[in-house]
Order: sequence, then structure tokens, then C-alpha cells
Amino acid sequence: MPMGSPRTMSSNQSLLERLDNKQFQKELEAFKKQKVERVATKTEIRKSYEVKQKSFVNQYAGLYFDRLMALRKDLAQVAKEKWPDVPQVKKLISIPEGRCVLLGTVFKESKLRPSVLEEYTKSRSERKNEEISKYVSEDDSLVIEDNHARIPLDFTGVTSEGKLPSVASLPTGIVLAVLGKNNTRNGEFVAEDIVFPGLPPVRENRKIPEDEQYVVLTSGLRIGAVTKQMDLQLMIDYIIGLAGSSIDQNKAAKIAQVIVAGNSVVIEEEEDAEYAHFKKQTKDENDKRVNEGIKNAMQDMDLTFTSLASSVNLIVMPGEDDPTNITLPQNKLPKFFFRSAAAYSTFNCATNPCGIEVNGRVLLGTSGQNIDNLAKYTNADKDIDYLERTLQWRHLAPTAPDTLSCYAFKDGDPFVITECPDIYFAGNQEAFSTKIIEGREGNKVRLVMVPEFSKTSSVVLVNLKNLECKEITFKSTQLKSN
Amino acid sequence: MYGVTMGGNSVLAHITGFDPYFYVAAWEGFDPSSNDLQLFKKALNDALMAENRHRGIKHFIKKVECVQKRSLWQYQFQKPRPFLKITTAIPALVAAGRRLLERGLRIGNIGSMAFSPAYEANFQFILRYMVDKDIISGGWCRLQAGKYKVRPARAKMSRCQLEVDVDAKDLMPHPAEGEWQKIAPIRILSFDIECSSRENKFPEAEIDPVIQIANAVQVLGEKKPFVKNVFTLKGCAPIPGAEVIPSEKEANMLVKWKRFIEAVDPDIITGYNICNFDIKYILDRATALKAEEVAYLGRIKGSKSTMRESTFSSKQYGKRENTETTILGVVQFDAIKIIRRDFKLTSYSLNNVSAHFLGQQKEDVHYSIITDLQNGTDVTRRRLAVYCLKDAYLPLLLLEKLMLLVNHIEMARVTGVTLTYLVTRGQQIKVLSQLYRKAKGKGFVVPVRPRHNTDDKFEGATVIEPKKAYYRDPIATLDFASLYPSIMMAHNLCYTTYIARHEVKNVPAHMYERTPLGHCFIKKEVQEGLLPEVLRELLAARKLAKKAMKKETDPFKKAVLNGRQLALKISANSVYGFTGAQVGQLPCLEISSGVTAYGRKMIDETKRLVEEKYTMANGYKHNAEVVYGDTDSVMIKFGVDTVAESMKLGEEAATEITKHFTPPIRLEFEKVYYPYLLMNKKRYAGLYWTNPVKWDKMDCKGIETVRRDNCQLVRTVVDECLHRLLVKKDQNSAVNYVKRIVSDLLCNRVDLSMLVISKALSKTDYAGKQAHVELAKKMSKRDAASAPKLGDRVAYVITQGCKGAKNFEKAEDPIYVLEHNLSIDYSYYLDNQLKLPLTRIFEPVIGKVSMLFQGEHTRKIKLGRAMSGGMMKFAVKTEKCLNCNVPLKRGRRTICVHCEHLLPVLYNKKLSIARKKEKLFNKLWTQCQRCSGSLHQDVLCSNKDCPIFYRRTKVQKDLKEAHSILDKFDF
Repeated sequence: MPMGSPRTMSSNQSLLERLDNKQFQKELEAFKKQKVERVATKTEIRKSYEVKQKSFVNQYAGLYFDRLMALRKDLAQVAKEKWPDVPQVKKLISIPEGRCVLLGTVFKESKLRPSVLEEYTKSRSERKNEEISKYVSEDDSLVIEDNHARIPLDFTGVTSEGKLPSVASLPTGIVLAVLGKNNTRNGEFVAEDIVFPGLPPVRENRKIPEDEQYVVLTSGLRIGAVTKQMDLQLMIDYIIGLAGSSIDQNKAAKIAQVIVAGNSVVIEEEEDAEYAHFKKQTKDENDKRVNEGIKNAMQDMDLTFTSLASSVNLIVMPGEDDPTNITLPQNKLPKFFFRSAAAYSTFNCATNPCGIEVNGRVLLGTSGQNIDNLAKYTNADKDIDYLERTLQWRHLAPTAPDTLSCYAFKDGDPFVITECPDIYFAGNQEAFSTKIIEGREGNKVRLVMVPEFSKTSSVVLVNLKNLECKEITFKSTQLKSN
Repeated sequence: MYGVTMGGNSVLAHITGFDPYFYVAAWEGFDPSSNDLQLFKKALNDALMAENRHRGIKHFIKKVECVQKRSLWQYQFQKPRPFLKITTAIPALVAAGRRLLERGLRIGNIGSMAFSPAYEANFQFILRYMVDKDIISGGWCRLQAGKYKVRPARAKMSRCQLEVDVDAKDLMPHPAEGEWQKIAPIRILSFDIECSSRENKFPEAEIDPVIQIANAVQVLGEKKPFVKNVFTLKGCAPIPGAEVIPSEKEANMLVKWKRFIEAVDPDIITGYNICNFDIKYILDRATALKAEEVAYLGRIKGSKSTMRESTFSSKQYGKRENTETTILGVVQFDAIKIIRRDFKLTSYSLNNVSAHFLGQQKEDVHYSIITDLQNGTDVTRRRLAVYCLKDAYLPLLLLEKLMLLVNHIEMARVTGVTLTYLVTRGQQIKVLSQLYRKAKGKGFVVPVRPRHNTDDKFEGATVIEPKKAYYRDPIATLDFASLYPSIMMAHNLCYTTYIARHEVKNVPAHMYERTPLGHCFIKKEVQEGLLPEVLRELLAARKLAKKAMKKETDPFKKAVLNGRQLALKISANSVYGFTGAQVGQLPCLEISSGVTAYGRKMIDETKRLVEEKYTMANGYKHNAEVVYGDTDSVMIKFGVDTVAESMKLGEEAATEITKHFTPPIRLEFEKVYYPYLLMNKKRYAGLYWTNPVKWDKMDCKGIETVRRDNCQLVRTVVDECLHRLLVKKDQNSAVNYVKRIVSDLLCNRVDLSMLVISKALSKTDYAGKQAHVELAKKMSKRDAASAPKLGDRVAYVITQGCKGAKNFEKAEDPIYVLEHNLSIDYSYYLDNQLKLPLTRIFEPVIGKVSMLFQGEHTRKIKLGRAMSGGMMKFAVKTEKCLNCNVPLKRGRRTICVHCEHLLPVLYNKKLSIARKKEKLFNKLWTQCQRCSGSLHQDVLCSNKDCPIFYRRTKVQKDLKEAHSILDKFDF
């Protein structure tokens, strides 16, 4: 198809039509024969976020305990390096007089945080109706705790080296070390300075690809909704090498991996099917109508992924609105959704969060819920700071389980980041942004806020060789590459 | 007299030079100039001596004087008469003297005569002193320099920091005005104990040790406690912000605690249920351990605290059994007593009370776990201590939040009654005290009336028959401001103005007024009554306090002023009740029945005036209609469409109609209800508007949302219906909502915790069989350890049970129901719980309410299936199609061939259930973590009052089920 030809949005089913079109299939075959050889890809999806035996009798305490235990040793080391002469307190039950360092998990007391109790106890007219987007207030205060005790922190102090991070920047659930002095009068610990575990160590003997090859990061395709259909098609064409100039096509050939980070499909919400029996519309009619809607969306998604997988390695992660469980980690999307795509060995479903190794590079990321939740309960100057902080805290989702729902793990906290990724991303963000930060061993980490495609029409290309990164925007009128 | 200085030091003043006394009327022919007085004195003295009860007293009667006084009882034609004022040596002799005089006494050669009634002979000595010297409890007194002596340490009787001797005339009281309005730096100690127990029995003081005592000490008006500590049996890990004082032996711990109290020297001790539990338990325990020192809790050295059982009954507050402990010099201010008396709640557990007022659920550690924690390590004991400290601190927060202490101090100041009396006695003493104060200044003496129990019922307030309806137009409400007090003032109703029936003929007609019931009272132009004067002053003072409150910016001072105006209001309103209390101190039904009679007349009058004036004939847009009236208010439908118009007419009517009544009776326009749902007498709901722009609140009267034997479902449904009817003004949505709930109930979709009913197990031998008692028996057969004990609350739901089973047999433990998938008896909840309140609400709205409970939405009924027991033992489980329930062929797990096309929608349905449950699981369990105040320790709480308790267990089960279904799709 010639570039830039105006297409109308009336052809909602264009995708299906075209794929059914024999003529198109022929062209595709012909094109496949003449296309440039693709780079070889060796991908390994980590299994650490799969929940094997589900049990729902556990409480969350074990998760926090494991989190603290997993980070405590390294944190103590970092704290020792920073404050070599100050003693570290082993258990928070006895705090010596004088300066010392406490290690523990942070809990933020917050009046704004919605409480499920209120839903149950307050009468209807007492309840607040509107949801607010930020649960951060001046009254918030921090406590630190370990498996023994909880101690309130006085965060009003100013250190000699500068100011403490604001209470507003720290969420519940992170593990940190705090230097300060106990105020015996009110039992608060007056903080002078804090330190986080910092970036995790890099795996030894990494093999970095020597030639140029790319990973495409995208998210929020929202197939089934009527927006950006054309842009999506353009994007697919571009990736499978059907679009753009020969330079673009050459580049496309170097795409080693496409990762879809969540919210691939939009499924129409059923309207209270349970009450259908006393409404006019019968249950069966309702089921049938909804079924059609879901089926169409699923089919569209299957076909989209089929066309991608037929050409490149594709990993699909679930997102908040995708049809799988909602608490983190989210299970892979079930296979029966992908009758067609599943036939390709290049097509893989993954969990969210997800760790992937592509040709020697380690990628780690989520579909964005962890970052969205942090943005609700903490403040930052730039959105990408949230992403960077989680790496500094060595934890993918510190606000889980407190405000972000997650599974009550009993053996270890899988969200603790044990190995430093080369590329670290979060999907479904308002806008693209990126940053390089340096790890402890001088390694570089590429942080990427992956934009939501249905809003921005753009994807992110990361060069696995040198971690260069850029956003490509697909507008149905023109192809913009920057 | 105990007190504190402005600097916060405790003082005990020994006051000398004030003796008890009472009066009797002098006999006919009494001659003050003769030696009649001497003869009388001698006769009484001899009679008392003959009784030989009080040894070591030489002169029983100190003095007899003749004074000119008037009796308070009935109109005395303004003429004082001679009275004998008899001063005795000690207070106990007042009663003895009165008894002898009433019985009859032979006085020298004058002859034998009886003196009945005696006057002012049953007034507590302490109040007598305070009244005479104008001293008020909770106020300030000055010890004049040089007029008092400080006792040296060795002569001190008490543990107060300062002990002085002072003559009664040298103690100068300051009225609570100006700078003397401030509240003294009173020290409050709040404490809580934990006991271990055996095999889950409720702890018994003879056997089970006290294991921890937590304390918090705060100065009234300050923000935070200045001491927080906990005494523990065996070691305990440190707690930030609180001192831990461990002991190896229990007796040592109790003694240490007792010495701590001495050191703190509190003026007030508080806590939650300390009077009936904590203090009693400690004293009993001290006896059991032979640690006698502990029992000397009072401020007076060597005064042992003793206990006695008492029954307190008051018409207003009801009957209560209490343990009273004497702790000299310390006021016991138990938060549970006050809250029980002043607030109506579903449960008075500390959990529920703090959830209600402080908005924080409290972790509730079951007492079986307490013993385990105690027997653990320093760290587990620390956990217990943190819990105990919280329980000690919560009462302080409650006192502060509800301003309990401040309001009581203001009440003490207004009424002149001591703080202790306010806590332990009823309303009457307050009025009596004020009456005495007034009577003293006017030269009246108060007779001791013989108590006679009559069943004379007098007619109460009037109620204009409600025109039940759902009013979608504004209803203006006119209220009589302080109705009963103003009637008494307007018509001068008092003891002193009442003209006895046989005296009426002796009084000129222009001097009195007849009440609607025919009793005659002197007009105020002739002589103002005492009660009207008391009321006039109270109401004037209230006006002042309110004015000052508006101006005040300091929040604490503002709260004090608010307490003051409240106290004044309550006092004014209780005067009427005092005259009507038939077993009271000074009942006078002529007054109280007159008051209500005037009230009835005024309500009817108002109705008539409104409906006569606001008519179309008089040029108004509509004919006004009084839809309801009760006691002191009338609800008027002016027929206008907007709140603003209704307000304008309301205000106009209030001013206009007030002119028809005797001042200070005043009709006020206060609010408009719009919309207004009038269900029955004293039963209505509406949105409350005081300005035409935005409604203030939803006002509900008489709607049983707080009754304990209603389940949460009733409260939620009633609340939501009213919201939809009144706020949304959408009756269809309210009807649909009810239909939906009914359908939910029938289809087993209502959350179990919404259906839990709870009752306290107070005794096991009820006359009839009661659901909660039977259940407790059943549970103790299942597992004696976890079954509810006497005093516990039993929570239950009504299940289907066998056919024909009685309700009390169908009660079951909610947890058991969850575990065994029992089905709920929906018809019980429908008929016995929902039907009545919903009928009340909807009858005025839609007329026939049967459509709510019958029809399309009730066709589908789904029962839970028992997964075990009964026939299920013999059943073979086969996989069934998730859509149509057809048994599946081998190899298929999810859906049959015919339904396969529905796979996506089916998956999506099951998925959305699982997603909801996952979110709920997270919300509930993290909330429990927040309440229990720890992330790293498992939640132990077993607070059955908490709405989360059953939900969090249910969600675990639901989630497991939801996921096992989801897993079937994984192929």
C-alpha cells in the first residue's frame, strides 16, 4: 500500500477484510520472499512471576517480612558505606540513645487514603463521592518498622548535607535505612538522612550484542475500541517491514523482539447480567449480544498478533484492563484467545511484571500499574522519576499490597529486583520519556516510559547494542520518525 | 475540699466552721423572746442522746435560732413566718433530728408536738455547704493570704502536695466569669488492665492474674499525655514513647502500679469500664494475693478503697447495676458510663465506640490469644502491651473528642453540683441544687415532702395526627423556642405561686391565672415564681454563652463555652421534669401537667392560626396545611414550590403567630424539610434546609437503624432508600434498588456479614428459647474452647435448617455457615428484618408495597449447596458445563459442545467475579494491617463488631473458588 494515501475511518473491519483478501495474501507471500533476512533472536522469558500453587489463606505479613529480609543485607552494606561510624540497630525494639541507623520497611500514615471501612460504616450521605487523583497531603507522616516494632519518624529535620527527601516522595512498602536520633520524649525518631538499597547488581559475564538490533516496546493498543485503527495498522506494517522507505525496512529487519506491555484489548463491560431475569431483555439475548462483542474484539486481537508474530518475535504481557486476573502478578492471557497467533512459535504470552532476556540483554518491566499507583500516593517532578525510584528502592511495586493489589506470596517477594536490568520499562504511560542511569558497576540502564499507543500512536525502539532509544509515531497521514 | 492550683499542684483544704442544719416551722404560739428556744434545744438534744448512737459527742444540737422564712410550698401571701433553724454537730444528726421531730417530741412544759414537714433536712451536707457559700464544683476559690495555715508534712492526712486548714468564711469563691472561666490544670489518669485466663474462660479475679496495666496521664486541655507507661508481668521489649516497667511477681507489679498512682496524684481517673471491671478486678486480685497495700488507692492516707454493689435508676437514664468503689479524693470518670448514658449506639464495646466517634477501628485480641501472647517471649508480650496502651489511651481521646469532661465541668458550674454527683446521680439533684441556691437568696425554705408513689398519670404532649405522605414540596417547620421553660416563665408556674384549691377564694381574681386544667397560679406581676426566675437566668446565661462562643477563636475555650451553653440548655429543660417526677424530691403535678396542657393548647392554636391566615381567600397562592405537629413543633405545607418561598412564609408566620402568645413564648422558624417523608408519629425523614441554597443534612427521626437486633442489611437498605428518595428524589430508583436487594437475598448474593445479628449472652437460662443462647450451646458442643462465654456477644445468622425448624434452632455461627456453605433463610430476613422498615418507608410513597416483595424479581431462588454432610457423602462429583450444567464428557472440563460458542462470554463472567474478589481481598486484608498497626506481623484481630471480620474470611473462600473455575479455562 502506498504511503500517505488517505484512508477513511469508515472501514472499521479493514483488518479482517484485508487479511481475508486473497490478493493481499498473495502480495504478502511475494514480499516475504524478497524481504531482508531478519536478525536471529534468542529470547528467554523469566518464570519468576508465575504463581504455581495458588492459595488464598495467606496474609500479607509474610510478603513484607520476605521483602525486608531480601533487601536488608545489601541495605546494611550501603548504609555502612555511607555512615561507617554510626551503629546499626539490629531490632527496632531497643533503640539506643544517640545517633544510630535504623533499617526497616516504611509505612505512610495518610488520612486521605481511601478506607474500605468507610464504605461499610458511613451512611450514604456521609460518604465522599468523588475520587481524587492524588492521595498526598501535608498531614502524611512516616513510620519505620521491622518484624518487631514500629517507630514513628520525625522527618522535619534538615541534614548537614542537604534536605531529606520529602515525605511526599516516599511511599509505603519501601525498605530503607535511616540515620538519626531517638527523641525519648515522644518516641519519635528524628531522621537526618536516609539511604535506599540502590541499584541491584548486574549479572556477571553478560554478552552484549555486537550488531545493531532493536526491541520494540509498545502498550495500550486497545484493540476493540474504535480509535487509532489506522495508526495501529501502520505500526504493524512498519514492524513487519511493509511500510516506509528501504531504510525503514532495513531497520525493521533488525527488530529482534516486540513487547506489548498490556492493555491490548478492550472488552465491553456487561451490564449487570445477574439482574437480567427481571428486566425486559432476556438473559440469553444479553449473553448473545455481549458474546458477539467479546468475540469480535478477541478475534481482532488474535489477527493483529498473528500478523506481527508471522514476522517477528512477539511477547504479550497482560495489563490492568486485559482479560486475566487483576492483582499483580497478572497471569498470562489464556491461550484459547489466540487460536491463530498461538500457532506461531514466535508468539508468546508473558506475565506482568515480566523479565525477559533478549540476545543477552536483560529487560524488566510492567504494564504500568506500579508506576500509576506510585503517582497516586507520592509526588515527583517528572514522571520518569517514579520509574527510576523503584530501581533505587530495588522493588518493582512497593505500594503492593498496601494500595496496589497483589497476591499474598508466602515464599519470597518476587517484586524485589535482584538483578539489574539493561532496559527497565513501564507501559501505558501518558507520554514517552526516557533516561539513562548508571548502576553500581558502571553499567548503564535504559529507563523507558512506554506511551499508551491508543493515545499517542507511538512505540519505542531501543537499540540492544548501545541502548539508544527513540519514539516512533504513526499517524495515518504521515509517518514520523524522530 | 480537693483542688488544684493554677500551677497544677494538688491541694486539700480542711474547712472548719461550717455546721449542718435544718429547719422546722415554729409552733403556734411560739415566742422568740421567751425561753421556748432553750426548751426546744434541750428536748431535742436529750432525745438524741437517749438514742445513744453517736458516742463521743457532747452537744448534739449546737444551736437553735428563730428565723423569718417562707415555705417554698404554695403561695404564702408573701408573709414570712418564724422558723426554727437547728444546727447539729455532725451531718448524720440532721436526719436523726428530723426523724425525731416528725415523730413528735415533748418540749418541756409546752407539750408534745410533731414537726412535719421538716425543711431542708434531706440535702447533702456537701451541697448544703456549697450552696451556702456560693461555691461551685469545677470553679475557682481563693484562699486569702494569712487566713489559712499550711499543714507541715507530719500533720498531713493525705498525699496531696499542699494541705491547708482554713475557716469557711475565709474561702472566697469566684463565680465562673471572665478569667475565672478557665478550666484548672486537672490531671487525668487513664488506665487499662489485661488479665490472662484459663481455657478461654472469662478471667476470674480469684485465680487469673493481671498481666499488664497500661496508663496514660494527661492534663486537661493539653494535646498529648505526658506519661505513658505499662506495667508488665515478666519481661517486655521496649516500646517507643512509653515506659515499660516489668515485674517478675504479680503482687510486685500491683504494688508498683499503686505507688505510681500515688506519685502521679491524679485528680480524675478514667478508662473504659474501669468501675465495673478494672478497679474491681485489681482490688479483688490484691485481696487474693494478700497485697493489702494496693487497696489504699485514695488520697487520704490509710483510707482503704471498699466496694459495694449499687443499683442506679433514673427515669431518663434507665436502670444500671454498678460496683461503686470509694477512692477518696479522686473522681472516677468512667467513659463507658457517660457514653452509655448520653449516646445511643448499637454496641458500647470500646471497639464500636471508638469506631463510631474516632473513626478508627480497634484491633480486638481475643482473650484466648492474650494468654498465648503472655506465655510467649518479650516480643509477644510487647505486642500485648502495645495493644493495652492503646486501650488506655483511647478513653482520653474519647473524652477529648466528645468534650465529655469539659461539658461535665461546665454542667457542674451551672448547676452547682459536684462532678461525682453528675456521674453517679440523675437529673433531679441538679435542679434541686439550683432551687436551693435560689431559695436561699429569697428567704424560702424547701420542705421535705413525704414520698408517695401515686400512679397519677397526666396527659403528655400533644401530637397533631400526621398526614402520612411523601411530600415533594417544601415543608416549613415552626418550633417553640425552649417550649416548656418559656411556658413556665410566661404563666409563672412555680411552687411558690401555686394557690392551693382551698385558698383560691382568699385571693383576688386579678392576681392569679387559671391553667387549662383549672389550677391557679399567682401572676408574675404580683410575685415572680422562683422556678421562672431560675429559668430566666439560665436562658439569659445561655444567650450570653452562645454570643461569647461566636466571638471566641481559641478552639479549647470555644469548646468550653459550648459545654456551658449545652449545660444551661439541659438544665433549663430538666426543671419541668423535676416538677413532674413523681418519686422525686419535690413533685408538683399541678405545675407539670399545667405545662403540658398549655403546650397542647399552643400547638392546636398554632395550627388553627396558620390554617386560617394562609389561605387563598386571604390572597396567598395556596391554602396552607399543617401536616404534622409534635410537642413543640408544627410542620406546615404552604403549598409553595421553592425552599426560598417556604422560608419567607415560615419566618413571617413565626413572627405573626408569636404575637398571640404571652412572652417569652416565642415561635421560631428554623428549617424547611424538602423533600419530606412522613411515615408516622415521631417517624419521619427529610432533607434539612436552613438556607435556600444547599441542604444541611438528612434528618431522620425514629427510623430504627440503630437497633441491635437488626442486621447491617436493614441499616444499609434503609439508608440507601432514603438517600434515593430524598437526595436523588428518584422513587423509581429506590423501588428498583429494593427489588434488586430482594432478588439478591433470594439468590444468595448478599454478603454474609450484612446478615449477622448479634446479641450479648447475659445469662443462659432465659424463659423462652432464644436463638443466641441455643447457638452458644450448640457451639460449645462443637468446640468448648472457642464457644462464646457469658458476657460475650454471640453473632449469628439465620439459616434454612430442617423443614419446620424454629427460628432459634436455625441460628448458626457465621464462620460455620461460611465453611459449610449453608444457605440463608432468606424468608426470615425478608419477613422479619426487611419488610417492616421498608413498608414504613414506602407506604407513603407508593401506597401498596406488596410489589416490592412479590413479582418478577422474586421468581428466581438459588440456594447454597452444602458441600459436605447428608446426602453429599454418597454423591459422585462430575464436572458440569459451566453454562448449562449438563454433565460433561470425559476430557472436557469447562463447557459442553453446545455451549462452546459462548466460551468467551463465560470466561469473561467468571473472570470479572475473580477480579472483584481479588481487589476485595486486597482492600480488606490491608485495612486489617493498618488497624493492627503492623505490616510484618499477622493480623490477630477477632473484632466481630467490625464490618470486615466476616468479609475477609469469606473473600478467601470466594477467591479460591473463583480461581479454581478460572483454571478450568487454561487449556
